[in-house]
Amino acid sequence: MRDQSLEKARTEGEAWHLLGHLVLLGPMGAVREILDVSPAFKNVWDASLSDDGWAVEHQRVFGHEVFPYGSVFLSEDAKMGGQWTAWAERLMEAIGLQFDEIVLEADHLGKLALALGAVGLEKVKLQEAGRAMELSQFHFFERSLLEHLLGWLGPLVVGVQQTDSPFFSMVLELMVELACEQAQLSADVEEPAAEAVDSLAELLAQSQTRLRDVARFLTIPSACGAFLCKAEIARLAAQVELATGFGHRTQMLESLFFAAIDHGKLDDFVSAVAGRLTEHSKALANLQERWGLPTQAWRRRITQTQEGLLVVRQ
Amino acid sequence: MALSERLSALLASLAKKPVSRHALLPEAKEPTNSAGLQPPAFALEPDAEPESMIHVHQPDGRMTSYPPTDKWGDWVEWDSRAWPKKVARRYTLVPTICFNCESGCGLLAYVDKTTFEIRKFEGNPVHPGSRGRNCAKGPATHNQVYDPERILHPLKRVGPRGSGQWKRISWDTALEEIGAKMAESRKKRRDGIMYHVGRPGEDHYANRCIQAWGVDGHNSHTNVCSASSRLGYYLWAGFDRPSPDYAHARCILLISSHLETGHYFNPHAQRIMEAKKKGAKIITFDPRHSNTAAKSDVWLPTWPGSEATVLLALARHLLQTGNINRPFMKQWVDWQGFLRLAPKVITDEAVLSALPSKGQEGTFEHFEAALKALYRDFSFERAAAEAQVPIDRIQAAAQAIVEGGEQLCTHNWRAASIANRGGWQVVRCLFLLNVLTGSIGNKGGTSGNSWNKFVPKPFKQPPPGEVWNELQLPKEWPFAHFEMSFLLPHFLEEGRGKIDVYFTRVYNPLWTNPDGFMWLKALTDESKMACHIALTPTWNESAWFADYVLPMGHAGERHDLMSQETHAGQWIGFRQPVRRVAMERAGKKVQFTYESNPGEVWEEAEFWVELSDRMDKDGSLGVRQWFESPNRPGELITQDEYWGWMFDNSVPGLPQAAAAEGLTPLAYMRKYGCFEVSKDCYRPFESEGFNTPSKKLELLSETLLDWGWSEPEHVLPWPLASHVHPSEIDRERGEMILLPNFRLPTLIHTRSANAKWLLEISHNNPVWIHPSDAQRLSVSTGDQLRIDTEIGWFVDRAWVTESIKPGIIAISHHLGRWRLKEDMGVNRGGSSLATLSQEGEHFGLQVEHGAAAFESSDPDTARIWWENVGVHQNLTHAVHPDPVSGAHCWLQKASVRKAKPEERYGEVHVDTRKSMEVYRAWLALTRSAQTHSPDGTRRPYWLKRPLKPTKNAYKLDS
Repeated sequence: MRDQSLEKARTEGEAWHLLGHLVLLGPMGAVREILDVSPAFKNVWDASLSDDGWAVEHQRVFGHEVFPYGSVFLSEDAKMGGQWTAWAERLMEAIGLQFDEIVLEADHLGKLALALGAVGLEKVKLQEAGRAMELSQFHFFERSLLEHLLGWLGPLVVGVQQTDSPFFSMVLELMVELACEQAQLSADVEEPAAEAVDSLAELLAQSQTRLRDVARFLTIPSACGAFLCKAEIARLAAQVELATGFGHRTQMLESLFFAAIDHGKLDDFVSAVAGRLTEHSKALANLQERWGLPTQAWRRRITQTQEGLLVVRQ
Repeated sequence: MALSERLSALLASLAKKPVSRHALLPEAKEPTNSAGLQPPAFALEPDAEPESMIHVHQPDGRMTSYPPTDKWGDWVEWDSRAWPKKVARRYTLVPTICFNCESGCGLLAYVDKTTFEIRKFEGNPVHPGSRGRNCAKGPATHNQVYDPERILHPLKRVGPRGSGQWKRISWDTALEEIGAKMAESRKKRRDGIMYHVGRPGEDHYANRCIQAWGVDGHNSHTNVCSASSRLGYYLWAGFDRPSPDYAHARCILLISSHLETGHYFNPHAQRIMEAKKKGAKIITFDPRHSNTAAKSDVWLPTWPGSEATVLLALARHLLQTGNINRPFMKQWVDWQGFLRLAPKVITDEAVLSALPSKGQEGTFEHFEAALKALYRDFSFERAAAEAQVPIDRIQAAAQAIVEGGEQLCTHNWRAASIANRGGWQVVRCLFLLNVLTGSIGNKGGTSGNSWNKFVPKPFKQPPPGEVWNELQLPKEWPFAHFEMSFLLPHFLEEGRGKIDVYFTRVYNPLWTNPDGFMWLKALTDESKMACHIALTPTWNESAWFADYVLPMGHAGERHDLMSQETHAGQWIGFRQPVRRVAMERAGKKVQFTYESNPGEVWEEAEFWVELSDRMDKDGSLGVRQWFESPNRPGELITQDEYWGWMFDNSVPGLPQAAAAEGLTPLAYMRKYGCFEVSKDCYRPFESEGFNTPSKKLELLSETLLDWGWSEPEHVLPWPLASHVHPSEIDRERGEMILLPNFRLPTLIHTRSANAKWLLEISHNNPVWIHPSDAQRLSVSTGDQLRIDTEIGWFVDRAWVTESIKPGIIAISHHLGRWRLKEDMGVNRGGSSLATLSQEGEHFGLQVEHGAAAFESSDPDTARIWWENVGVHQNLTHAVHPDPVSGAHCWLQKASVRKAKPEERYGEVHVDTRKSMEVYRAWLALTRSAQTHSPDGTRRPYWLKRPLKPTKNAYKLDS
C-alpha cells in the first residue's frame, strides 16, 4: 500500500469502529465529540440530547423496532448463515485479534462493524511492518466479512429508514456506502443468496398453515424480503383503521389479520401490506442505484411475497 | 462509484481525529471500590463432558431441567462465557435460601471447585415450596454478592453523624465496643437495647438472642406492612396470616395483588396458575390494573375503602341464596357467643327480632336469621355504587365464589388492609366468605399460616422477659400487631424515652417509613439514640447516619432456618454460606463465616453469639449461658452445633430421612437445603379447635367489646370509613388519593439498587395517572407533577395510563433512592446524588443528578444507560396509625397539579411541625389501655406478640 492508500485504509478502519460503536451502544460517551464536529452528521446529530436520551432512541430503534441481531438475520428461521458469528469470532481469535467486544451484546451488526474496523487497522499495521503473507490473510478475511454483511444489510437499512430515526438511518446508509466502497462490487454482482426457504405461496399451499404462520413469515426478512418494524405495522393498522394490537411483531400482525377478517377488511389490509412491501422494494432499488448495493434477490423475494399475498386474499 | 460528500466528510474528520477503540469502548479497569473487591476469576480447566440434566414436568405443564442430586458434589457443565469453545467447569452445588423476599424459595449455588467463586444461583428442585423455580429476584442474588459497591468491612463513624466519614475497624473492635455498650445499658435497665428488623428472613434465631439478653427489644417493620391483616385474621381465628391452598382451589379471591406479584410471587403464583389451568376462577380487587388483575377472570377496581362493602355484598349473596356451609358453621363458628353478646352490641331492630326471645334457647337457625338481617342492606347495587365498579362484575364474582364452594382461596396481606383506616375490617369481611362457605383448612381452601409452617425448637430457650418497652408497644394501641415501629421518632420527639443501643438489621427506616424526616431527626440526635449499629449487606440511607456499619451477608453468605406457608404442607429451608460450605467440602477449615465471604462480610447468626459473649464475658448478667455449647460446657456454641442439635432433635422425620442416605441430619440439610416435614396438612383445627378464647371462629369479637371498641362496626365484620373516604376528597379542587403501597414484581424493598439486573428492569417510579385526570390537569406522560400531602410536597413525572382508576394516582414505593456523597453510599446506578437541607422544622431534599455510569470491578456499571431513578415520596407521607391495629394507613390525600418550571424533579419538602400535628390527630383517635383495659393489663394476653414477656409485665402498673 502506498501512503495514501494506507491512510485511506486507516480512516476506513476508524469509520467502521465509529459506526460499529453507534450501532452497538448508540451515540454516547467519547463519540459525542466526534459527532459534534463531523459535517457528515451535521443535519441529524442532536447534541442537546443527553446520553440517556440517545440511549432511549437507540433502544427504540434497535431494541424495539429493528433488531440488528443474529436472532433475526441469522437465526434458524432466517436461514442466512446460522453460526456465522461464532465462526467470525473464532477466526479472529485464531489470527490473534483481540476482540473484547464479543462480551458486550449479541448485536451481530455492531460486532461485524467493529470486526471490520479491527481488521482494517490490523492490515495497516501489517503493511507498515512488511508482513505480506499475513496481510493477504487479512484481505481474505475482510472480503469475507464484507460479503457476508452486504448479503443482508439492505433490508435492515430499509427497516431502520421506516423507524423515523434520521440519525440511525444515516449511520446505516454510511455503512452501506462504506461497505460498497471497500468491496468494489461489479455492477452485475448479486448478493449471496439466502438459504432456500418456502415462499409465501408454498407456505399457503400446505394444509396446516394458519394465519399465525403467515404473520410469522412476514416478520422474517429472509422469508418475505423485508423487515417490517413495529412502527410500520402500527402504520399499517392505522391505514386500514384497525386496532394496532400489541405484543411482538408476529402477534401484532396475527391479531391484525384476525381483526381484518372480523371487520371485513382483509382485502384492504393485504393490499396495504403489499403496498408497504412495494415501498421496501423501491427503497432497496434506491440503495442499489445510489451505492451499488446488490439487492436484486431481496426484491425478487418481495415480489414472490406479494404474489403470495394475492393467494391470501382469495 | 464516487464517495458521497457525507462519507468523504466522515473519513476526513476521522483522518484528523482517529477514534481509539479503547476510548469508545473502555476496558474494565482494576477494582475501584474503596474496599478493593476483586471480580471473580475463573481458571480454565481441561475439557470434560457435562452430565445430563434431569427433566421435570411441573404441575402447570412446563418442563424444567436440573442437575440430579447425586451429582451435586461434582457437577460439570460447559462454561457459557467460553462459547463457542467447549470449556468444562466443575462445580459443587450448594443449596441455600433466597433472602430477597419473605417466601424462602430454594436456590442452588454453583460454586466453582477451583476458585470457590459463585458462578450463578439457580432453583433448588427439591425445595417443596418453590419446586425449583424462582422469580427474577432469586438469580439476582449473584448481582448482590458481586456488587462492586457493597460494604466489605466493619466501619465506624469518625466525624459527626451523617458526615460520611468512616474508618475501617476489625470485627474484634466492633464486638468489644458494642458489647460494652450493651452491657452498660443492660445493667441500668431492660428497655435500652432495641433490635429493629426489616427483612427477618429467618425464624426465631434473633428473637432467641433478644430474649437471652433479658430485654424487651424486638421491633419490626410489621406496622407498615401487614399489621392490619394480622389483626383481622387473629380476631377471627387466632392465626395472623392466611395460607391458601391455591393449587387445588376452584375460586381465588385476592385483595393483595401486591403479594402475588411482588412478595410471595413465586411459590404462590405458580400454584395460582396451576389452579387456573384446571379451571379455577380468579377475582382481584385492585384500583390498579396490576399483573395479577390482568390474569384475573374478574377484576374489581374498587374505590379505596369500599372493599369491605363489596365483600359484605358477596357475603349477603351467599346468605340470601342459601349457599352457606351450615354444618361447618354450626360446628366451628362461635354462634353461641354471638347470640349471647349481640343484644349488648346491636340496636338494629331487624337483627334483634331474629334473636331468640328471652328464655328461649338460641339455635343456629337464630344465628343464621340474625346474620341475614345484619347484612341485609349490603346489596350489589350499594357495593357497585360505593366501589364505582360495574354491578355485573360483582355478580360475576359472587357466582364464582358460589361455584368455588369449599374450595375458595382468599388472601389479603397489604393492599386495602394497610391502605385504609379500618383496613383490618377488610380482612374480617374477606374471611367471612371463607367462614360462610366452610372453605377453611380444606383441600383448595384457606388455612392458617401456623398450620403450614414448621418452626423447630432450639436446644434451650431463654425465659420470657420481665419488662415491657413502652417505646415499642405503648398503651394507646393495645391491639397493635405489632410494635408501633414507624412512630418511634414521634415517641422520641415527645420525650417518651430514649435508646442506648439501636440495631437496625436489613432495615432502612429513614427511607422505608412514612415521615422520613422525623426519622432523620431521631437518627441524628445522639441524646435520643445514643448508639446506632446498622447491620446491612449494602449501604442505605439510614446506615449513613449510623455509628457502626457492619456488613452482613446476602442469601448465599449466612446461616438461617426458614419455613413459610407456601401451600398445604410444612417444610424447613436451610440458608447456608455457600462458599464456606464448598470450602469445607474441599477440606478447608473455616472458623467464622467472614473468612469465606467476600471481604469480611459476616452473618448475624455467628455475630450474635460472639457479641453476646462480649456483652457478658463473666456470665454475671445471665446472658452468656444461652450461647454456650450443649456439648462443650462453657465454650461458645458453633453453627454446626446449634443447627445440628435442632435437626437431630426437633424436626420429625429428618433423622430417619438422613439415616436412609447414610448422613447425619445436619449433613442432609447441608446437602439438600430443605426438608419436607409434612404434606397435605388439612383441617388441623378438628383436634384442638382454633386459637381463640372460644376455640372457635369469632364473628363477634368479645375481646374488642371488652377493651372499649364495643360498637357493632368494630366487633362485627363491618366497613369502617377510610381516612380517604370520598367525603374526604374534593376532586373538584384537584384532590386525589395517592396510592403508594404497591411494588413492581422485580423489586426488593431497599436492596434492588445493588442488583443490576433488577435495577435495569425497573428503576423509576412515575405517577400513574388516568387519562381523564391528565386531561383535567393538562399533563402528558413525562410532564412533571407537584404532589402536595398533609405535611409537604414532592415532584415526580406523570405516566398517563388507563391502568389506574380515575381520581387516584399511584406511585411504586420501592424506588427513589438517594445518596449524599458522589462515590459512596447507595449504589450509584440506583440512586440520585442528593443534598439535604434544614431550616428550623422545614426539611428539604434536592436531587443534584440521577444515576450515571461508572467504572468499577464490574464492567456493567460502565454501561448504565438510565438516569432517572425515581422520587422518594415517603418523606412526604404523614403518619396514619390506625387507632385499633396500629398499622400505618398508607393512602394519602394529595393535591396534584402541574409542576412549575422552578420545581425540580425529585425535589421534596416537609414541615415536621405538621408531621407532629397529624400524628397527634391520629393519636387522639386511640382508646388507651390505661382507660379501657378491663383487667388492668396493657394488651389482651391471648393476642400474639413476637416475643411475649411474662404475664406480670403485661400489668399496667408493672
